[in-house]
Amino acid sequence: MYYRRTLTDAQINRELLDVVLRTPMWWVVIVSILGLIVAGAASAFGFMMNQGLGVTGLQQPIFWGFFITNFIFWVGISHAGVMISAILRLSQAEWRRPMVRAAETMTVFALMTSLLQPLIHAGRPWRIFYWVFPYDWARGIWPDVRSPLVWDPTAIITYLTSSSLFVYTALIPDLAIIRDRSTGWRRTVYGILALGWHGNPRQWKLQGIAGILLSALILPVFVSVHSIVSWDFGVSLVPSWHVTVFAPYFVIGAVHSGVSAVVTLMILMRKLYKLENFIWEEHIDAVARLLIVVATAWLFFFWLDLVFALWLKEEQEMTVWHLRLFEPPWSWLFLVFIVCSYIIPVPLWMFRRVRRSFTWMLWTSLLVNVGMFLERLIIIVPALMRKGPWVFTYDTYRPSAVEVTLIVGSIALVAFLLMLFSKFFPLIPIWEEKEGQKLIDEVKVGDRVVPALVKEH
Amino acid sequence: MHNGEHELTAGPLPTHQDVARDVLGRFQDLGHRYWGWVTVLAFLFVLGIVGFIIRLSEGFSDENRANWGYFVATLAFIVTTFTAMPVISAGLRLAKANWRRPLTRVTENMAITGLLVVLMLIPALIALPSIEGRLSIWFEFPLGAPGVWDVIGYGTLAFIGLALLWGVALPDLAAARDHLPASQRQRVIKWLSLGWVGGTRQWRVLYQGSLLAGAMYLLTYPLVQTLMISDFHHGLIPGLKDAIIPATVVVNGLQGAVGMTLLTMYLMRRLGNYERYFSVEQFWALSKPLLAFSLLWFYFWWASFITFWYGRQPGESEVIRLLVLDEYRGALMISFFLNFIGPLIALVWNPVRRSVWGPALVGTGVVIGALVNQVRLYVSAFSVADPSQHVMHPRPATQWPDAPDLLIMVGAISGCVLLFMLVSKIIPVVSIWEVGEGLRLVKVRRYLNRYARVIAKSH
Repeated sequence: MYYRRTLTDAQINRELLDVVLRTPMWWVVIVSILGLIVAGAASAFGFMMNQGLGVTGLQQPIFWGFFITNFIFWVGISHAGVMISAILRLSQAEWRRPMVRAAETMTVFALMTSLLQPLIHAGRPWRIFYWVFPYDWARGIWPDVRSPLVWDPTAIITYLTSSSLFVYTALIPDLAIIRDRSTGWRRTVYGILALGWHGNPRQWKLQGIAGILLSALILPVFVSVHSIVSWDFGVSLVPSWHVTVFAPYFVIGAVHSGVSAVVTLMILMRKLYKLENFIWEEHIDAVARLLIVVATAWLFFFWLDLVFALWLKEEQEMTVWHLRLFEPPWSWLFLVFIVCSYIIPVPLWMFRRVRRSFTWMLWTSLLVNVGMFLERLIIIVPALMRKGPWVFTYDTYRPSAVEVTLIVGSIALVAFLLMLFSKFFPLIPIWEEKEGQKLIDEVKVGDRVVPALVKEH
Repeated sequence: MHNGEHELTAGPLPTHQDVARDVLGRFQDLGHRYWGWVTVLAFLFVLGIVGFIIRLSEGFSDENRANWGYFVATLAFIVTTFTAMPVISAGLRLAKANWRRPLTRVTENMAITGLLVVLMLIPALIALPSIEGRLSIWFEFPLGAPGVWDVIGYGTLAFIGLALLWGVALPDLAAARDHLPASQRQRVIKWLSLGWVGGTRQWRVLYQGSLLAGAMYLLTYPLVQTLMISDFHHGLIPGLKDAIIPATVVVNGLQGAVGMTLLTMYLMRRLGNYERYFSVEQFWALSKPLLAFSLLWFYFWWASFITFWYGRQPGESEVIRLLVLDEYRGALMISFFLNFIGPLIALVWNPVRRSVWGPALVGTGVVIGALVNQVRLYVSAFSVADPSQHVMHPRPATQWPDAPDLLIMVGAISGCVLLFMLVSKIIPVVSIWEVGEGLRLVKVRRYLNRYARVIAKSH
């Protein structure tokens, strides 16, 4: 299944280091465009800092809008890295190999981008320090150490640190390969980063142990990050947020959107970087199968959230759900969300032809993330609109041009950082590909020769 | 292979014929020990029926609903362990895990306990109070809720389980038909084999059918657990709104299924000399999902607890006191240790996972923990005097089992094992065709400086 193309070590080096060792024009063009969009978003942020949060659509009683939605969205996307890399590594899924690096890297950049969102949301970011840290020791004021403003950054920075370590550890053998093919200052830099790697048995053994250990250790961090984000909502008494299922519902939703983002990324990488020899139909087929399971589990949690929300028949809870399900524009957004997240993609993924089509998989994976962004928006805004029994404004939330610019800017930022990364490091781990080639074999069963795999352990 | 059992060499692996000869040989001559166990289990089962009759003589009313708590907890335990076992084979078959082959039949044979579950469900439903005036997942749904729908749900699970068991066993039934001498048993097996001759079309239908039935069982099991927990626990405790609890009991069910599979494999090794089929590989491989499910069970429980703890609404506070802090604290602690702490401490160590005794011991603990957890969940719920209140007041006292409760628990569990043993008289406990197929897909080759297994991808 996974061994259709047999590649030599030299061919793997040449093809995967192509963009690292030379700079194609298309790369310059794309990075420039993305850089311009990011600069535009930065300008919008500067404008917002100057004018204040009045330029956003946030108003009484809705003080969480696009920025917090985007924060949750990017934390969700970041779950792809560990899902693909750590869990598939531990379960020795052979098809993980071409996608682990891209998924891990996307995790790091998505987390960085997510961390920016609360800062942007604060309007004037330095104010966050007043809310988090004690600023008046004499009177012992520590405004709110239990605030999500403390929980979330702690969890996310832990995840960011461990994910960065994860990426770096897996990168070391590849850094040595680049070092050996570079000259001048690049050779010096890659030499330092490669930590004297020569690929002797002891180094490989340590690298393998580090990979397994980090995979196992990062899993609780992975689960805790989105759980903590969910508990920002769950432990409050806002109607429709005070739900026990929120933690796993957020985590599985994050995996759904994150793995879908990996599919999008892989297909784009394959096209841009000409990685046809490494990313095959079989790989996205395998991810699509995984996505069917993840999406169905997510739907189960969504169903639990809905059914048990109605359980106590509390008026405020019912009002929020009525708003979400039956009152425009939320009802329309809800419809788009559920159709994009599940109703269109999952039945399509049941067909082998769709799972093995790069075009179909690109569009369906994009749809999932459109749906998942809307899911977060629908969780946040309608609940705040009917947060209390006495609501004095029935106006709905409308994101302003500044907010939309910043959201587009965040997408461009992740893409920009990924493009920059690809210029200096291979997006597909060279050593993993070579290892995968070594494990390929064939076995004669009956009168046919079928592909086989050497069992790692 | 592992754990010093035998080192991998280039020597020949056993063939399909070797496996068939060995399994059918044991199947033909079940031995005295088998009948000894059947007699003991049948005796215990009869004792359970006696306990049930005593309970029945006390009748069903709102005043003595608490008497049925242990009966329902036993029913939930069977659903959480024995009836959950086919999920293991269905999931592993869908995931194409090669190591599953020797253990699929053991788990599928347990589908027979679905019949006992359906029978036990009827008195449990009668013991439930009316859904009028209290919270329920059915929202006063008129058409016979919850009884009719629960029977349909449980019946569907039992039916799919039996279809899975029978369908996947057809090639082995045919092998047994051709192997056994003419007798009443052979005639029954012949009838059950449905004229299987192993044609290409038959095999194609078998493969597709087993995947389809497995997928249906996988999808129906969470539904049944949701019905169980919402009707027999959640709906009886005023002020409880715990959306995650169906998922928690599903995970507890998967945990219980793996634990019971490990325990069954261990006993079959010790008592039935099945060492060559249930090797360290199976124990090692199953210990990983057991650890994962244990962590997941704790995570789900914690997500629920922390939400209530911070919410501190009157209803939530009473629920936490009943189930966590006061009346059922001891049960929670036992379950917490056996279902989470124990597996975590033991199974993070590879030498423990890579052994027969380690996963079997942890699995046994998980099964006991699952039983105690069902007692905590269902006995507490059945002890609540008035489920129609908004906030539970007063909280019911801890209820300990009396003699009929103990008889019912022992009898029902023995009944499940008895059913398994009786089915094993008709269907071999090791899937000959699946093990044989696996042997054809595995070759031992020289890899670098040692021998390694090369596994063909059949698809």
